Formats: sequence, structure tokens, C-alpha cells
Amino acid sequence: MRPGLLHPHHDVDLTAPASHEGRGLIGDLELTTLVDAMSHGEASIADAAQRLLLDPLVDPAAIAFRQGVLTACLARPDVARELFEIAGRTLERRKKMYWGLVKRPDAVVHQGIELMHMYRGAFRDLRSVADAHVDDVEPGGFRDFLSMLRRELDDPFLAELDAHLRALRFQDGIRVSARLGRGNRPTGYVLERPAQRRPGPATRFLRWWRSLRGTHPSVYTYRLPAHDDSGVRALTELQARGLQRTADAVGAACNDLLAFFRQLRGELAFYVGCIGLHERLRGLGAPTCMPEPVSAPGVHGASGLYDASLALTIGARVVGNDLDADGADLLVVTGANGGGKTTFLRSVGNAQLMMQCGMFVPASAYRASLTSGLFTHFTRQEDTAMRSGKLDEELSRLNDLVHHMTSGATLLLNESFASTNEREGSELASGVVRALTESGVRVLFVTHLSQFARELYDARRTGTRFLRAERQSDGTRTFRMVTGAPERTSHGADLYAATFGSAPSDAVPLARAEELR
Amino acid sequence: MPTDVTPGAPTAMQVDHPSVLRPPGSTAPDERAAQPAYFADLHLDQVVAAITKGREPYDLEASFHVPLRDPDCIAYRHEVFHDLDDADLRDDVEAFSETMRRRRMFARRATAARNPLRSQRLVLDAASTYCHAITALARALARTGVRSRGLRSVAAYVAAYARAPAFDTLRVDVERLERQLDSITYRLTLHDDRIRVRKASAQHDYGEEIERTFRKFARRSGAARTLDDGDRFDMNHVEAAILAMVARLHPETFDALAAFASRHAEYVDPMVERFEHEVQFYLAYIAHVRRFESLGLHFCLPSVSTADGQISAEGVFDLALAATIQREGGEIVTNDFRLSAAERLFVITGANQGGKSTFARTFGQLHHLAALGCPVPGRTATLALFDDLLTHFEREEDLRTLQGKLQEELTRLHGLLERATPRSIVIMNESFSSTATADAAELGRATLRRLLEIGVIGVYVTFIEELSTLDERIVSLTATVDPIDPTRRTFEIVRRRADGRAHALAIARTYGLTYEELRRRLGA
Repeated sequence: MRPGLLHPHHDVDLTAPASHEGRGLIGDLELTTLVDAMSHGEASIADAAQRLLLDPLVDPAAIAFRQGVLTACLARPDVARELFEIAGRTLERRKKMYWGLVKRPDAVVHQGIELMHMYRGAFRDLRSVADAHVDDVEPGGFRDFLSMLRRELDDPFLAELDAHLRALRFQDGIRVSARLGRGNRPTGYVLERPAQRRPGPATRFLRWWRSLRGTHPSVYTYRLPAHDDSGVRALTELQARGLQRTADAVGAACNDLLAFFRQLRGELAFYVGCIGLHERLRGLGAPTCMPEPVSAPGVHGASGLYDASLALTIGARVVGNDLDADGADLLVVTGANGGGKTTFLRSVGNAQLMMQCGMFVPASAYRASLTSGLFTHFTRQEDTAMRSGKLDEELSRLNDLVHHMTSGATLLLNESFASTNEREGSELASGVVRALTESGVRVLFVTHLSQFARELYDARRTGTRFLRAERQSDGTRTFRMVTGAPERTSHGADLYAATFGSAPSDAVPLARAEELR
Repeated sequence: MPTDVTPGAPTAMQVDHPSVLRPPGSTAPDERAAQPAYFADLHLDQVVAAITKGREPYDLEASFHVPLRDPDCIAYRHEVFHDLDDADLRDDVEAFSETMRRRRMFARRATAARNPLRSQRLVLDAASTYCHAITALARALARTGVRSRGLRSVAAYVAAYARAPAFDTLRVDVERLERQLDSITYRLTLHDDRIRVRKASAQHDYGEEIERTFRKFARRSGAARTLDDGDRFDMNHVEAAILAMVARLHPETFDALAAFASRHAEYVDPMVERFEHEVQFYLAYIAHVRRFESLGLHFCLPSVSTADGQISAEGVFDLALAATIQREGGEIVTNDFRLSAAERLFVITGANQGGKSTFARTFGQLHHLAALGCPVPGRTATLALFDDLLTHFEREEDLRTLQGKLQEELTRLHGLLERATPRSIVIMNESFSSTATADAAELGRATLRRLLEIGVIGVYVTFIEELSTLDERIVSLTATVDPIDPTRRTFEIVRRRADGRAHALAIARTYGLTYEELRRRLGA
């Protein structure tokens, strides 16, 4: 029995650490802002959301399954939240109960009874939510989950549980059978199920009568002498050995039940987090949509795609971008400084991760091929002071990423190779980009390396597309990306002019660019 | 094949056989033999301690102290080592030894147990274990791969013993009684301070019912929790009381048990126990060898001869040093050497810490181990059978004056030269280092001349290079420094080229980020 809300066929281990590439992604894509908006400070939501965002699904059917569950949850947020609340409450109670590293089987049984009693209450609560709502949630994974709760936690199961809780109190003592082992020590203890009722007086009289009449008595009784402390210890140990197997079963059951409720809370946490984020974005008037994952390569299109983290930070709707990059394996973004290139790159990365964990995306439409792994290589601005070690640091980071890349991966490069001079940077960039695209890695590259960009543009390769941060003739940025050839300047002069009040001569950078070609 | 040996009743003449350690008719070695004088110098004391570790009850050291002089005795052991190359056979013999050790444990406990019902059962347990050991050993040694004279003589003995009436009676008695005892199941009712005991039949544990109820939540597939068997030495009085009640429920079976215990007190065959003891020599050595073979090092059975001829070996190493390196990490360096028929002595010169002493020790270890009839640490080896192995190592811990130290060295040297014969092996390490170089050269020349005169073979480690060219019967060896790590050298070239124009690409190359490297890494 598994909640099964995250995958139609197998368990998703929410306790496993995030994959390697996750470490850089969180910072580069500002996932923390997104995760915070989902969790509202609830740790179980933050954990589940981060874990799943960093572990993209690559099977379209698995994504469709989560989309189905999410759609049902968005339609009935109250049901999802109530179930999440039950799981959370149960785990809180569990935390307050004593379950130490006890070794003695009788103590295990005793504590196990209390824990099971508590879980039994939680089962009843889950059952009643399932009974009440199974017919009014949308068909799919979520409804199947409610049906499963009704089926597995049915009355016979709860009655069986109650019977165990009664039997485990051993009110008439314990009955254990054993055999003779090496050295005639008892071995192979087997605990008999305690009788539901005591035998009546007639039965007891008959047994006693028969025992008197036999030539060999069939029962012998040993009574501990009074004040025999070591005898009491021996008897307790004997009892413990008899209870061992049952105690193991009780202990294992309690551990399994705890794991079940942890998993249940984790899985529900993800959807409850999605509900929260959905409500926040709706509140800002920002659009969301269920994306369309495509298993064939080369599909990438969006309209109204925006950076959810930015929208959440400034608390308002932000400019959306359209993208039509079907058939492209290399997307080069150039253009004005401060024109929203990084934000655009982040919005693509975020949307891809959200789609591949089964979430809605911040766009009015999004359709894209699945990637086998998303990687980011963003300039770390804070490092610029140490110029000499910078290239080392940058390349070492890229080297780590390549270790984990396979064909079908996607790499977002943001101002990479800018820590050396333009010519060397361009040389490096073209070698790396060529090797990656030829190896089946999709590359999105925000760059100021004009030599590199011009050479690419002049090569007229079909898989390469160029976007430019739009700059109106008066120098105003629109924060839109438009299709367009790379320019020879990033319009730093505009910023210079805005700052200094007069334009620097364009001649120098242009002449230098010419010379370098 | 000594099939005429009557099992269970060895006579005085046959008490010596069968043996896996030496052929019939050879003289029995001293079972209390002390370490030879050269053991500490060659670090053989460490080697033997490591080999025998974990088999202390067998007291094996002495069997590693006595070098054999007779090529046939060596061949006899080589045959056994060859048979025991078969891992299945070796496992069976190890299992036999383990079973015999368990039998002794039961027997000891039977003697120590105060409760007669427990003591009688332990006698039965010991006998039962013994029967299993014998049956398994007879089956193991009957396999066709057993070719050595040593193991075949034991096989014939054990096969006859297992068929003999005395053993068969024991086995039948054991089996009948164990069947009866195993069929007993009793039920205890524990309530307050009362224990009731009655007969019962086998049932299922209640724990299984609980498992069934919660199976749907089970995450791991049947994580079997083993019950602590509580294999204590004795019983407490409550357990004893229960056992007494069980005995009263089954009087016939327990009468039979008491009768068995008094009937079968002595049944262990001394030849079987002797085989168990002797075969540890092989098992211990092979277990030690396998530790190094798993590191890619080789061992071989050397050809050993008394005739004058060439000595040669490839891929040899110091077994004591290898154990240290294996424990602490590092690479084990192997060596080759060769002495043609006319050559007698290796003179080793060269850098300090270059492995000179290690080579000298290796040479000595190989010869001692070969004379034990054991495989030696090396890929191939042709070695000499010696009448005496004589070592002369500096005594570093000596606190006497320099004059006294030289005197002490010369006294030892004198004794050594007195004893040496043409069939002796002599290993001298940094002798005369406590005197002036001119003196040391003089003394070294004289010593080497004397050694050549006697005709010994051996190794002479010295810092005086001229000694290596003294005579054409001397082979000069030089300790070299370790080769430079090639990856490091590559790295330095990269660093040099990293000036000027190629700077960025050079860094890219170190991170494997050039076009060619990337294509290769991403599986082009």
C-alpha cells in the first residue's frame, strides 16, 4: 500500500538527497523564491517541492499522471488540504510519543499498542475523508488514491487491527511452545495467539479431571519460590524470548506505518504547495497553464512566458516573452545590458523544471521537449575581483557539470567565458558549444562575446537561433526578447550615457571588434 | 597407499602415518622447534605471526621454523599445495576443521555443565558434530582431483574409518536419538509466577498474523530479524526446572539419552585429529597468500634443487613489507634476479631507502619459504636448497661504543664463516658501517674473498661501490630511485605552456573542456 500520488507505478523516495546538478540550479534559477511561495514556511512542503523540482521526470506518461492529480487538487483544494492536515497531525502526535531504542520485547509490544492505537485513529480520519469525497473529485490519480484508502482501510481491516490491539494485552498470560536445541536449551519459540475469551468453568473442570485420570500427568506446574529475584529475572527473560518474534512484527509494523504517513505527507505536501503557488500567482493576475511535454526532441515554444520568481519578488505581473525555437539546439541571446536576458534564461529554466515535475508553468502556453537533465552555468558576479582564478573557477564548475551530462541534456550558459579576454573567451566558447551540440546537448547561451556570436551568425547553421534583448531607438528597454542578429555592442554606451550624461565614443569598441575578426 | 592401517587402532609403528606434512619414512621434525637465528633479520618472525594469526589453538609456529633438506619432502608438500589450489576442496577441509573445533567446544561444555540433562545432551551434540565432520571429510577427499600422496593416504584412512563398525554404530545411535529429541514440542503457559508445561504440536507464531495484517505497509521485503539464540554456557534454575518437567513428559527418550552419554565417552580417532592439526599448515599459508593475490601479486611453487645451477626469480617481493603496505596503503614493488652457474654473490650498492635491505630480506625469505615446501612470493622462482642460512645484519639497537660494535660484528662474522659451506646461503646487510670507509672496504674485500672461496651463494649489501667489481663471480645490483610520476610530469608541461597566448586553452585542457576532450567525454 503506497500513496502513489507522485508516480503511477513506483514509489518516489522523498528522503533521498537531490541530484548533483541541483546545487547550482537552486541559486542560478532562484528556486528558493519559488519554493518559499509554495511552502509558506511549512518545512514538509519546501522539502518535497525542492526535491521534486530537482529530479525531473523524463517519461511523458508520468508527467501526465501528476498533471492529472494536480488538476483534481486545484479543483478541490479543501480535500487535498484536509488529507495533508491529517497526515501532518498524525506525525506530530507520533513525535510526542515515546519510541526509544528499547530492546526488551515486552516493552516494544507495550509501546507498539499505543502507537497502533494512534494510527488507527488516523486511518479512521482518512477513511471518512475518502468516503465523503471519492465521488466528487475528478477521475484520475487523486480519485484512485481515495478509492484505495476506502478499499485498504475498510471495516474488516480496522476490525482486525482492533482484535490485535486486544490480543496483544495478554490478559491471561502468554502461551509459548518450544523445542529442544543444542544442550537441551529451548529453541524455536512460537507464541500462540491469545484466546479471545477465557475457557468457561466446565471446560476448565474437564481439563483438570482428565489430567487427574491419566497414568502420566500431561501437565506439570512450576511455581517460583517467594522472593526468588533471579527466578523472576529468568521468567521475564523467558517471556521476552517468547514474545521476540511478535515484538519484531509489531516493531516493523510501527516503522512501516510511520514511513507510510511520512510518504503520504510528503506526496500531499507537493500538491498542497502547488495549490498555494497557484493561488499566489492568480492573486497577481499572472497567467499559468498546464504545459505540453513532448518526448520527441527539438520542440520548444512558449507564449507569455515569465519569471515567476521575479513576479513573486516584486509582487506584480511581469512582462512575458514569446518563444518559437522548434528545431533549434542552440539559442544565442545577445543584446542590451539590463534588457532582461538573465531573467528570460531563468524563466526558461524554471518552466522546464516545473513542467518536468508535473507542475503548471508561469506562461499562457508552454510546449517543449523533455530534457534528460537541466544544467546551469551562470557567471558568479561576486568572483570578479579575483581575476586570475576566475577562469579556473568557471571552467572547473563547467567540468563538474559535464561529468553528469548525457546526450539529451540542456545547458543554460549565462555570460560564461567572460573572465578572460574577448578573443580567448570566444575561442573557448565556440569549442565548447560545438562539442556540446554535436553530442546532443541543447544549449541556451546568454553572451556578450561578440566575436563568438558574429561567427556563429555568419556560419548560418540551421539549428542555431538568435534572440536579442529589445532596445528601442531611444535606448529604452522593453524586457522583451526578439529574434535578431547579434549586434556588435551590448549598448553599454546607453547605460554610460544614462549615468554620465554624455555618450562615450563608439569608435573604440567597434574598431577593436573589427581588428579581432 | 597404506590401506593396511587399521582405523581406530593405530599401532606403535604406524603412529606416524598418515601425514600430510612428510612422506613415510622421513624423520619427524621437532614439534617444539624454536625460531632459526635468521628469523628476525629476515622479518620472517612477522611473516609467520601473520600466517598463523587466527589459528592460535593449533600452535602452528613450530611447523614454519624447520626448513627441509630433502627435495622429496618438498615435493611431497608441493603436491598437497597443488591439490589445495582447488577452492572447493579447500573450503571443505576448512569446514571440516571448523566442525571439529565446534565438537571440542561441545565436549568442553559437556564436562563443565552441572545439570546432567544438559551435560548428557552436549555429549550427544559433540558426537553428532563429529559424525558430520567425518562424513563430510570422507566425501571431500574422495573427489578425483585429489592426487597428492599426502592427501590420498589420509583419504584412504578416513574412507576405511568411516566404513568401520565402531564409527557406524556411533552414527546410527546419534541419528536415532536426535530424531526422538527433535520431535519433542512442549508448550509453556506463563502467568504471574506460574509456569505450566505440557506436550504440544508445532504451530505458527502469532507474530506472523501481525505481519500478515500489516503486510500492505511493508517497505522492505522480509527484513529477517534473527532471534538471539542466547547460546549461553549454562542454564538458569528456571530453565532447568522446565527441562526437568519436559524430561518427565518424555521419560523414554531421556532414558535413552542418559544411556548414550555413558556409552559413548571416547570416540575421537587420533589420526583424524592429527590430520586436522597438520592441514592447518597449508590452510593458513594459502589464506595468507590469497590476501596478496587479490592485490594482483603472484605466488609460485619454486623449483628447488641441491645441485649447483642457476638461481633466478621474477616478480618477487618482501612478504613482511607487503603486509605492512597492504595495511597502510601504497604500492608493492617487485624485483627480478638471476645468478648464472658461475656467479655466486649479489653485491648491492646505491641510494639510501632504495630498497637494498628489502631485496636482501626477500632473497632470504624466498629460500626459507621454499625450504618449507611452500609457494613463494614471485611469478617464477628457481632456488637453491641450503644446508644453512646465515645472516649478518647490523644490530641497530646496540648501545655499545663504536669500537665495541665493530668487535661484535667481527665476532659474529667469524662464527658465520666457520659454519658456512658451499651449500650455505649468506646474507650480509651494511656490515662494517661503523668504521672508516677505507677500513670497511678492506674488511669487505676480505669477507667477500672468503665467501667466494667457500663457495656460498648470497647477498652483500654495502655502501662501498668498489666491492661490486671485485670478482667476476659477483653480480652488481644498484638501487634506483622511484620513477617520476608520469601524470605529474604532464601537468608540469601544461603549466609551462600556460604562458602567454595559450593560457585559457591550457586551462581548458586541464579541465577536459577542449572540443576533442568534450566530444570524447560525452560519448561521441
